[in-house]
Amino acid sequence: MIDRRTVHDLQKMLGKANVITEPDDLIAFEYDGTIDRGWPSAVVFPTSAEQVSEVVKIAARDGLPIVPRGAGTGLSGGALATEGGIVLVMTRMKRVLELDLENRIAVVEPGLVNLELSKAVARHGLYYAPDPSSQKACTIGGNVAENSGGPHCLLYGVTTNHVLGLELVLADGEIVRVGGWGRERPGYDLTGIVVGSEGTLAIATKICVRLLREQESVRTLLAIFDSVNAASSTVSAVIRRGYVPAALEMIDRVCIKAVEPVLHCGFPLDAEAVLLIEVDGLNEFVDTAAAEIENLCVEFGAREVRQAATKAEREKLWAGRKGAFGAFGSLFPNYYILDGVVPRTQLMRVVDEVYAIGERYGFTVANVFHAGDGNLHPNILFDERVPGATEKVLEAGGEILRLCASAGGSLSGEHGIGLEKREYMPLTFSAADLAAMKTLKSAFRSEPLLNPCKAFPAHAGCGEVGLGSHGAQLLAADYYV
Amino acid sequence: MTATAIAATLRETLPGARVLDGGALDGYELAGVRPTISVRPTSAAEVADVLRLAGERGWALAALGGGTMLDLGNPPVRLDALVDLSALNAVVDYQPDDLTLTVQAGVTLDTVATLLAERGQMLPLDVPLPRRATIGGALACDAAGPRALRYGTGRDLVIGMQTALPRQGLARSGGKVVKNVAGYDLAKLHIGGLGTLGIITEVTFKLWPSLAGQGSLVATFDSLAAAHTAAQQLLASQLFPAALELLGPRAGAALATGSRAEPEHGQWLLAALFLGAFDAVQRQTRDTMTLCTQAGAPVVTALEPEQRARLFDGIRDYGRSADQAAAVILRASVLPAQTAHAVAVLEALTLPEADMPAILARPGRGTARGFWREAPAAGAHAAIAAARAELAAIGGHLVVERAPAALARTIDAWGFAAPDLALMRRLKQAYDPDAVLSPGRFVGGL
Repeated sequence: MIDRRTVHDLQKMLGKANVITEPDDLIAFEYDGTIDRGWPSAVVFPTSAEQVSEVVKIAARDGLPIVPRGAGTGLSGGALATEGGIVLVMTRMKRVLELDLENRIAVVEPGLVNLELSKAVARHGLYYAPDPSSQKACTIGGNVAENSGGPHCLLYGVTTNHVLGLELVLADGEIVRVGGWGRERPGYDLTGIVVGSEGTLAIATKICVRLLREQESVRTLLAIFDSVNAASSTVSAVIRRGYVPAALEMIDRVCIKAVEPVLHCGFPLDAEAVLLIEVDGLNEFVDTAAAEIENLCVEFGAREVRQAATKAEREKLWAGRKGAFGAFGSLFPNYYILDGVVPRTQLMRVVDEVYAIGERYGFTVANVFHAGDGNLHPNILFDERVPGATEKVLEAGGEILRLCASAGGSLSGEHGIGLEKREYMPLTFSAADLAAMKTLKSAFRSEPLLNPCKAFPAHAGCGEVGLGSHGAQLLAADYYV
Repeated sequence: MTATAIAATLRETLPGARVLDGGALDGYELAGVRPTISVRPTSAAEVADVLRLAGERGWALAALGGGTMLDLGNPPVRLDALVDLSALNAVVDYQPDDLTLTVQAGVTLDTVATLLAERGQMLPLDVPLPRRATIGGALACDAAGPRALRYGTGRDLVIGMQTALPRQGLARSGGKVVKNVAGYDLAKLHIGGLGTLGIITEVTFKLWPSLAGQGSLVATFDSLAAAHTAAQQLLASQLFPAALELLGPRAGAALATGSRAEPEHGQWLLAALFLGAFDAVQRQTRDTMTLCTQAGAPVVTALEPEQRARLFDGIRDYGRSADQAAAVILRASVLPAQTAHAVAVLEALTLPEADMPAILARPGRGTARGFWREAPAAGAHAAIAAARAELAAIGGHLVVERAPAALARTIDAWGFAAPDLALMRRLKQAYDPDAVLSPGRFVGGL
């Protein structure tokens, strides 16, 4: 699979310990958070932008694709080496390089774990806002690649709203800084383009983010419903009436049944759905807003609304929300999570249909999602050891994606298209739209080197067995002519 | 191809589009370069047709919105026709319950504001001259105003975009939902791209509810340093102003005249705007007044709603409206905590034979603008170059947003050696290989 000279050059540059080629070791990098697999030829652990640049040059020379990877928590197959090649693991570049308290910005390396950044600045009363459920494990670099969201992105925005500038390694190995550590800089917004590009355009080696001041007061409400429909229509009403809470999350019965016995977070086992609603800001605002939202929940059918009285209670509720995916394991060995988005007025109808699709295919579906954004996370629970189950799950997932698209929505709110949703792109984008996106890739000259065959419909050259000599020729034509 | 021949081709190919030439184009110079023709397509598809034709025939085009920011950028090296987008003025889809809005590029900011106000919603882009300024133009120029502090700029509000591309026709990115990572976020290229990679034809925004409580205050300070310190203290606190503006003595005198906040000679003003729940706004106004007093402000005044609207609208439009147009506008950008430094550089920037500048700064975003009413004599280059060098030393830069033709033709408006210029050039090459769109107008001569 991989040339001895390639391995030798990688080892010489990175040190033997930082290059993995043995099958027994590679197996740990065969998967990410999805149900697909991809077998790399080598896995490398660079510690500097210069090393990343050298790896890129070696890979280009030898016709091997590069798949950048953070913690491997991705949920779209973006970090899988489906075409073989080198998996570039960024987790050893995890320093906070600069902390500018006056301007409330930090410059970090991509391998830094999301939550570690907030922890590192907490003593200054600051935090980093985007908070994916996997924030204890996922890296800021991975967040940049996927333009990750999280529960609190409803009010505070997703990753792209918090990244000011990047240092990038381009496909020719050049190290270049884009964007600015300041806000307003002339030129094309290359930072905005690279965030969310799923590792297909460039590899980020430094990330400048803005930090937010911790709020004076935070209030978390748990609204309990006897029907999912009532919970959905409450979400639409909250938005329609002009409230933008910091977070507005829905957790359904199946999910409660999985989570509560394990995490004891206070979700009533007999509820059909709960809404987890958080408001933050000044004391005066939080009191008023919490009371008004509580009334609204009751008006739209909540049987009970509880307010977390202490920080510990609040954290318990959130532990239930963020730990939901892990808890599915108590119900079924596997789950397949979707990430479609629909207009918020369509929530009730679409959620209904999602359950119906699950039923039609004979699967249990658990919904736990960012309701305020209209960002659904239906989890199809299954057992991959049952012959044909995985194929059927993917089919059901496809139907849910089609449903979101036909409701005027999107295939992905925060997980990315990656490998698993690439063939669905034509549902929401025309050939002309996709061609314009391809033009961007051609300007970065990153095809087929950087994370090939991801995020867009597969084309000739995307196979199961790596680029091989044909790929090398493509690369040679692109880089050395 | 002569102007007459271009006009004839356009009339023949696009019979529905209005084609103008001659005197009708008075007042539409781009950084001093006068177009000879304008064409007014009636649909996005016709915009794409014009771009395709231009590529085939070798014409150079520039997009025209409300014509309020035509001075931005360098003079294009070629310009055959303006593409007037005023006929693309439809509200395509307004979904108040979803807080989303889709409009064509030629819709004015004022039209949008009026429409949304009926439903208690807003698009918080404070673009100068909203009655003329269009959505497409505002985004292409990345125009922002006071409330950018809280709501961000175009890049934070746009969720979908359709553009006409020179070789590739109409293309969309994003969509109509507020959270979306499918496909490349191509809108980012066109926001602030000054129409050099494509022409924006339609945009979808996420909206914000208008907030019931509004409060504002103005504090006077005897020095720039004192005003700036108060601003930074406020920004570091748990209060969150929706807007925070620093006004130099001349801008303050012009904008706060007749109000109780009118500054005495040489005083600096700090104006803060708070939006939100009524109680929270009251508390923030009160706490900020205390903060300013403790920071040494001799006078701190809460503003009445009518005064507030006049002040913040005045800040938004300063130096842009026809009756008080500035001859020169320079924008300095630095890190927020260094705003006072940028202001000091502008204050010290003497343009030969021009007046002293009026200064407006946004300390939460690190921008400061100087406005000169009088056109400078020859030799302004050296003064601007010196200011640029000083700003560059702290990682900042200075953009010439407006200058008289003689100066605009001979100075680089951007003055910025972007480290990623090579990559930007590749983008321009990829999307506009025939250099149809405002060649030379953008950073680095793109």
